Amino acid sequence: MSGQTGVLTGTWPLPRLSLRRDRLSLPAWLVGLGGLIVASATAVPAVYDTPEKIAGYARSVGSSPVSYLMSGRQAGLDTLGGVVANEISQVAQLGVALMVAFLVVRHTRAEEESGRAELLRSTALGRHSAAVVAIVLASTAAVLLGAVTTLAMLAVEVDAVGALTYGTGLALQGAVYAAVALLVAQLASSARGALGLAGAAVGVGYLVRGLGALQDTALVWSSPFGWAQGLDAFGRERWWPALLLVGATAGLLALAGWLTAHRDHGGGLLAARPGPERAADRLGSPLGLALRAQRGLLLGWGAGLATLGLLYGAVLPTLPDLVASNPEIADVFGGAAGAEQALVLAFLRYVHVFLALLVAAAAVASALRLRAEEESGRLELLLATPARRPQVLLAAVTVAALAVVVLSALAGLGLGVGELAATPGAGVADLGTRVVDQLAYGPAAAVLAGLAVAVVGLQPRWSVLAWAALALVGTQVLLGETLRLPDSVSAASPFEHLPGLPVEPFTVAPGAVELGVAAALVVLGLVGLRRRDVGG
Amino acid sequence: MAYVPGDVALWPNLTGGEVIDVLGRMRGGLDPARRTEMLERFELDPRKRSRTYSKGNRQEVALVAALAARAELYLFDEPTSGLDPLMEAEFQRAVQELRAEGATVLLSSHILAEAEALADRVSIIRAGRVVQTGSLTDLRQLIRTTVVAETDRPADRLHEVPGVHDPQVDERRVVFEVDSHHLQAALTALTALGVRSLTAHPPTLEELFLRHYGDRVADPAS
Repeated sequence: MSGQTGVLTGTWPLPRLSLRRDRLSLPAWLVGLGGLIVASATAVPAVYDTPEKIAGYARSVGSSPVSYLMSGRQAGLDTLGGVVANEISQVAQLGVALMVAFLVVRHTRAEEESGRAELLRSTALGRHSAAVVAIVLASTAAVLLGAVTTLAMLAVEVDAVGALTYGTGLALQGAVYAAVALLVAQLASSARGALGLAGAAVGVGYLVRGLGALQDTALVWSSPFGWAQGLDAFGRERWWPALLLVGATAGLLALAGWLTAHRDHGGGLLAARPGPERAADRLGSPLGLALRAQRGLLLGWGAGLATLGLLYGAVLPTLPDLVASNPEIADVFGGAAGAEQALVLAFLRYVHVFLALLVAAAAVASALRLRAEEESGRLELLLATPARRPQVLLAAVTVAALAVVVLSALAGLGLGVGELAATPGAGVADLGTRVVDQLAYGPAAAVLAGLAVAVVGLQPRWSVLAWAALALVGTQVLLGETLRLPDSVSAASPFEHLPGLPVEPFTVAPGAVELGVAAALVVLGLVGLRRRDVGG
Repeated sequence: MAYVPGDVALWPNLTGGEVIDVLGRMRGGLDPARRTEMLERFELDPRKRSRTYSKGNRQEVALVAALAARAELYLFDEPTSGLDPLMEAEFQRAVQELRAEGATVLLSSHILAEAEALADRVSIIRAGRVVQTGSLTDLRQLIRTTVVAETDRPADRLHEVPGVHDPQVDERRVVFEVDSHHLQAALTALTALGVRSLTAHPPTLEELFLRHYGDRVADPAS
């Protein structure tokens, strides 16, 4: 062979391949996340349009433990810039970290796992090329997101130095997590494992910063979230915490590079743990199998919904103060300013519906697993045993129904526990009410899951319809008032017909009718599945 | 019935051992001794998660699950694609054992040597229709046998024998094809010329196959 293959040989054609592969997902991340940040940032001035309202924000949010936990201690809350930064911080900081983690793992460990990297490595391509390309790609995405954030802030005319500082912090925090993702991609032997580790690193960083901010201790300095916030945008603006971010990035990259050079291609430092050799007794049926196959998915949804409920519950007692300082906040969830109790109830209804919508998303995802089973050929393998089609379909339906009940209960429980912990004078009876009310919104989720089952049974290629229906219902529920949708559209949403607990009194009939509709949709799916060919 | 599809997809978060048990139980139970034996014969680690198996490993999981079940009918669709030659031989041994035990095995394969080694009856399917079916012997009757012989005297009158096709005579060596039911007449004519050496080979399954898939039978002599 003439010439030497260096560790970086062939790095230059690779980005073009990577960009070609990411031509949809990269813009989707940037547009989706950037759009969310721009939308949140530009919405703030309309809500906080007087100095009094901004001062009110500084008083209420600036002393709220929940805000400390979720967004850290943001400087300059008595300026518009500080308010904007605090409002977007969760989406922007968590978003940028998760985005780079997905991008890096996708271009490193996932490629190795699929064997595509092996194909590329057989060409004249250096050992570190893939890692370098992934890091450059992810860092560029982080810088772009930081730039978008700065521009969005400048658009609402906040302090320019503050906006630049905030955007820089965001981009540098993205670079740190890109390096973290590259490191864990060397440790884990599967893409899922690497994503799990990277996600855990993001979660720990976020929580540690939150706890540090809550207790106002130096703990915040042990998290990249805290370093980025330490730049003190809209406050004193200091640059030395940027050195922490850059230094950590460089250190992590060096470590990842050293690991790449000292491990086998395709192998990880953490070997995959061996699983059980024999199956548990309960696994021997389509239902047991469906439960086991979706266990991870449902556990994830359950943990997420319970946490979300907990946070909403914890915010409840701060609500009257928040609205007193700025009555327009109440418009968001349709509560009338004035009576404190009515306000809290209106907020609770909004939260219940929002959580129920997420439960519906989980149930639809669960029901659509049937489609994935069929596409992959696993359904074929199952149907070659004495298991029959209705049995397999009903097993999937049972899991989806179970998901609705259990996830609703967990979300309600989280809400109740959060409320109980944060509100003096709240009783266990309130906790029970939250769980029951959340369950009462379950039939709407059941209808949407039923629709998914019907589509999979009748015409599996159209399974995206189930997601479209969910998106439509979600838009109606969350933005219906703002968009002034016609009544005929609103009437198609199953949430529209359920009693608006806890504002309105409970009635049995609508929920019962919706459960009937869900059952009818399942029957439709059953008939469809029996009549058509499997595996198309 | 036990079934092994051509392209095996397994539940990614289950281990190979769990998949084998699940499929076995849903088929009405499997034989634990046979399960252990098959796992050993196919050198499969049942504690690995399905998502970490290679294509060949996944194929082996489905094979062990099928072979460890006590079924009357075994359905294998391209079962050895992705298996290494040792495992392929192991699979053939396992099928022979099933046959000896009296089970029915339906094997779909593009590897004709495999079908030839294992099958009692062969059906050739073209464009979704069975175009030929029968025992291998029956099918061979339908095609010519190739004969190569050296004789004392040149076989220049062999083309007059019915059923003999394009004899190629090169001094004392002759190569010809003969319809299987005219073999007797052709050999009688040959022995009359004084046979020094004789090789005859029956049609391989490959030739049978090409006859139905190709536009014409590839000339075996060429």
